[in-house]
Amino acid sequence: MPPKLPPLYARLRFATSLVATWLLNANMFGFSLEKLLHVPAKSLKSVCSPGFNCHGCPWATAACPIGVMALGSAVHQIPVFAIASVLAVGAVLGRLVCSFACPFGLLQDLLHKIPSPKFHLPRFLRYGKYILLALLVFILPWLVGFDQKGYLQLAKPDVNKGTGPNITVSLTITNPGKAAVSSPQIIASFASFENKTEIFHTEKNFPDVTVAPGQTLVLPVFEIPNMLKEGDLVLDSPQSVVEQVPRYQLYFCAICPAGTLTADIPKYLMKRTTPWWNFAARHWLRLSILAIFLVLMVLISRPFCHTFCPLGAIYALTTPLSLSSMTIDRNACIDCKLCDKSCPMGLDVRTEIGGMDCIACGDCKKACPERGIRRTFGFGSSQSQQVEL
Amino acid sequence: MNKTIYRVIFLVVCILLLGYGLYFERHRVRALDTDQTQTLSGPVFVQGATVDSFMLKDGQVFDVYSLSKTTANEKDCKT
Repeated sequence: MPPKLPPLYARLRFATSLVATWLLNANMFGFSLEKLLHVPAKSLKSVCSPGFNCHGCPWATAACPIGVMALGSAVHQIPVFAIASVLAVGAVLGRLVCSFACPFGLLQDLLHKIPSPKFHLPRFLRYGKYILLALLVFILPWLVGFDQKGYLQLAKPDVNKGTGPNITVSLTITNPGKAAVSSPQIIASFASFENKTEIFHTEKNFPDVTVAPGQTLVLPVFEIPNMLKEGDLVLDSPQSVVEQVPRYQLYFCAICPAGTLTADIPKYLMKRTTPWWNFAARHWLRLSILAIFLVLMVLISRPFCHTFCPLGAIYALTTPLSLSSMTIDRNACIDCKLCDKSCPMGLDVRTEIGGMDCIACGDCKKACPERGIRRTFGFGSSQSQQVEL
Repeated sequence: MNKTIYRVIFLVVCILLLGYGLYFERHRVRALDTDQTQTLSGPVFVQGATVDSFMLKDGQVFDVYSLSKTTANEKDCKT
């Protein structure tokens, strides 16, 4: 019988994942990690999370490197700091992060403990994460990442001042956006000369007017009370807000189950602006993907890591040159295959340990009756040159 | 031996990239309404991408919220 490992080591993975999950989502129940560290609010979001955690989560403290890379691709900027952060973590720890510090990995491990029939995924699906990384994080966002709705730019109004109780205003508007703006709405207000506070406010609607993309037109002349002696006339439109329309439906974020679970659902539950039966198709798609993965997590060990995770794909690419690794002593192997049965990634441990799909969780090390599996750390290529942990 | 060298090189490259991103990375970002330009460092760009949002127009990067008059409409990653 192999000696029983101390409980501390056996539970280390769960404990570190739990701590990482809390650290990455610490801003909840009024607690603020930024306040604790005496740094400005949301400044920690300039740091990339090593594990997979959506920065859209209301409680998130750090940035999701995948989200930043996708947005960086969309605006044709290379976010060197975000990419280097991930590569540096990969260079030192490799996929150890996936097993020891990933909130979504923790969720997968917990759900897989639910008693049910267990299955393995076909091996070819492992390549899915690399395809998703290339396509939905870099290529599609780069090519067609952003779209823009229409918006209004207001020119300087032509005001017929006169002396009567009303003045007439002629206003030219332009739509520099890429979609039409219908029913322009103009807000006319007067700001007092003294303290610039609003002393009058009225809205003018033009329901029959539509401004095509790129079009400039003069609105029908309208009248407002003459308060030019009391304050400055200010014209604005709620439609002058430039609505950014990132084509998130083309980013990995659009199908990310971690984003749906930790950002969309909490935000919806907090605000409930739309009844759930009025959700747009893309929301149903996201919810469906999340539901499928939640079911798969019960039946299959770490299905997201296997097939979907672009962050895991980057770490996998760094694994061959990572300082952290797992090795097996083939001379000690008695071919019992207990390691294969214990592997959460469903690997053939004897040939694939320390490879790109090995998340270095150490379950095989625990399962090996001959203690032939070792966790190593160092620059050396042979076991003798590395430090056994 | 070869792998040792590659590991050292890879780690050094990662550290250099990290240092570059931390201290020398720059992104020129414009405001939508005033055309005011601001230069963001790597970490601030990451924070901007996370909390606000950027867009591309005529080959230039625009900050949709922070630098425009819609500052109040904080985005915080509309996923």
